[in-house]
Amino acid sequence: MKAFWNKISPYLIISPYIIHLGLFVLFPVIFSIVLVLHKWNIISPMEYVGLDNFQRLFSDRLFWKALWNTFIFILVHIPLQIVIALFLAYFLNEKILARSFFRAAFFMPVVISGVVITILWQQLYGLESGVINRMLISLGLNRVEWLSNPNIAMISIAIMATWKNVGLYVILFLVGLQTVPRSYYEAAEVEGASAWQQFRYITIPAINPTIFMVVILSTIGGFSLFIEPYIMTDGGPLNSTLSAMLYIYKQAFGYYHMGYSATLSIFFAIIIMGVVVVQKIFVENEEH
Amino acid sequence: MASVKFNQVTKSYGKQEVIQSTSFEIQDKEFVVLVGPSGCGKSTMLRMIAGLEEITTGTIEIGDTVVNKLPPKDRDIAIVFQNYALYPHMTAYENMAFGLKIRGMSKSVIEEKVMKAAKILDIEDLLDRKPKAMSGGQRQRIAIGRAIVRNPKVFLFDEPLSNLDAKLRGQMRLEISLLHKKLQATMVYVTHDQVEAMTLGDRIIVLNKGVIQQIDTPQNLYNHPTNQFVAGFIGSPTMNFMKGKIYQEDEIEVFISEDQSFRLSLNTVYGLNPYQNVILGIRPEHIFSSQTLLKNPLQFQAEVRWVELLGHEGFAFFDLGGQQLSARLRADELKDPPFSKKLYIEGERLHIFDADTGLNLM
Ligand SMILES: Nc1ncnc2c1ncn2[C@@H]1O[C@H](COP(=O)(O)OP(=O)(O)O)[C@@H](O)[C@H]1O
Ligand SMILES: [Mg+2]
Repeated sequence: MKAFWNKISPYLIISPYIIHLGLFVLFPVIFSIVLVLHKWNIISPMEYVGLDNFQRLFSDRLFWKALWNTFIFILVHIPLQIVIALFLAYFLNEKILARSFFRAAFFMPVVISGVVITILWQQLYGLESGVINRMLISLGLNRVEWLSNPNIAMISIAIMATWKNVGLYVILFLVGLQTVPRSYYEAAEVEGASAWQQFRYITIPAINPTIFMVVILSTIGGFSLFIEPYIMTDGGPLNSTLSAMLYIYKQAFGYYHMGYSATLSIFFAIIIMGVVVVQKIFVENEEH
Repeated sequence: MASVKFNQVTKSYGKQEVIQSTSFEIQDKEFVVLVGPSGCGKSTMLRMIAGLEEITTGTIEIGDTVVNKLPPKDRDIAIVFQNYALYPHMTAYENMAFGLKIRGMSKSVIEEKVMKAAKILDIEDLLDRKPKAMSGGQRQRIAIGRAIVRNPKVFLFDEPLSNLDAKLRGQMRLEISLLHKKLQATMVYVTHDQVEAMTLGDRIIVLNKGVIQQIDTPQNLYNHPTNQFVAGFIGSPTMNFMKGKIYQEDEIEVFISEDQSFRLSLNTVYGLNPYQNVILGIRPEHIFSSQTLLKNPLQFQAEVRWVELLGHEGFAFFDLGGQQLSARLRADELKDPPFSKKLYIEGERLHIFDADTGLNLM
């Protein structure tokens, strides 16, 4: 009896995770692969359409626009995030006043719900009554159409997303910085390296693995941009903040194009994988 | 090249004074070793010379310049760290070239200097390797190479050999000594290992708890330690000590151990105060089994309890005057313990320290 229990208990212990994985990961993945070849609006039965969904994808201008928007978001968000996070981490790693307070403060937005933050920033970005514009006006500057100008809206969202996530990357960089032995800096100081040269030639190469991890994490995070435009702009104005994820969501739950939405998801997943692989190759070349 | 001069230098971390007022001068081209137990302030002294640690009061001069306010890069010094501090993402060549590159030298000049240093240290075939791909000894050579390419006035070493195994340590010790002859530079070398200190230093500074105990040549430290700390720190195995009192009997000074069980007539008059509390010190190598070659043999009976053999020689351990003492004897003079043996202290080699101050009274 005991032997039987010993054999079975490991499986019981991991079963909640396995059930979760099966129900919410494996099943949807397999199901969406099946859906790729079908047309389905949830109510009527599935209809086999072969590769029609793919044909549609390649001629869907809006999807390509959403993809482009997502890249714009990432191109603003990732460099901004890395530079700010590294900058903050660098100073939080020094002996400054109230260091633990600042460390906690920068991390706060990470744990607050994205919905809450988006609503908060919607207020801040308000055209007439938003705090930011009111400050600009009181400084004698022109107000900015943060969310209503199609050329600016995506950048506004990228700034907000950076504010939300930067704390996490500050922590990651702090951990990275703390692994660099003090004596490296002391050796460099004796050799005559300025603070910037020490940062450039010692710190950056030493935390290269952390930078790579941050780039990958924020790339994946950036590609899944959804809550912010969904709540703030619903993809507008003129579809300028329509992210790929938001478009996929709309295809599925706005128009009930389940088959087409699944096709987009899979295509999008392949693109993300491609980008990450390219980044990895790039970083590895840098190391050698 | 340059001398290094400390003028009443102190160093405090908050309220804790880790270096008490210190003055000394290291001559140009001299090899000086700073030795003392862990935590006594050796690294702090070295780092103050380097400019990596601020000086609380007093002045440090390199050459004839007061360097208190000079940043490390303007002091014309190089430092070799215990953990080598080689940059892991650079090859040995790049590591050695880094400081030159930072100072804006041309590629060809850099190459010439690095190759010259590499030749001196015999590391030419390691130049393409990264630190990861090198042994401890090789890394240490690169770290030394990085120091010598800049041709600094003063070389600073902070326990450079403590991460190496014993055999390599001996070899590198010799090489550093030869390097000093070759480069004719001022070198300040920190170690906690008195063997390293004795073999390398022209002069040795013995430091304890932030206070300099003695500055002298290795031979003088061994023969004439100024106090009990230096006597116990220098020499291996360590000097035997015994507490007791001095008495005067028939114009001759006599030592009697604290527990009255051991009496040693010193056969000489040192002019010690009668009834003074003292500590008798004698090195294990100054206790002999025959008196024939001794100038002032002081005989006693040892009840040997334990023996340690090291091949051609060994140590006999015995209790005397309430202390455990050891004597270094030839292997053929030792047998299975316990046994009783007549031994002789060389009176000329005896040290007597004040029991309260630890000062050498002779
Ligand atoms: N940054 C520091 N802050 C406070 N105390 C320190 C600091 N660095 C060293 N100390 C103290 O100064 C003393 C001497 O240290 P150190 O020079 O490193 O000793 P050693 O190199 O002889 O082992 C020690 O008691 C150590 O704890
Ligand atoms: Mg030290």
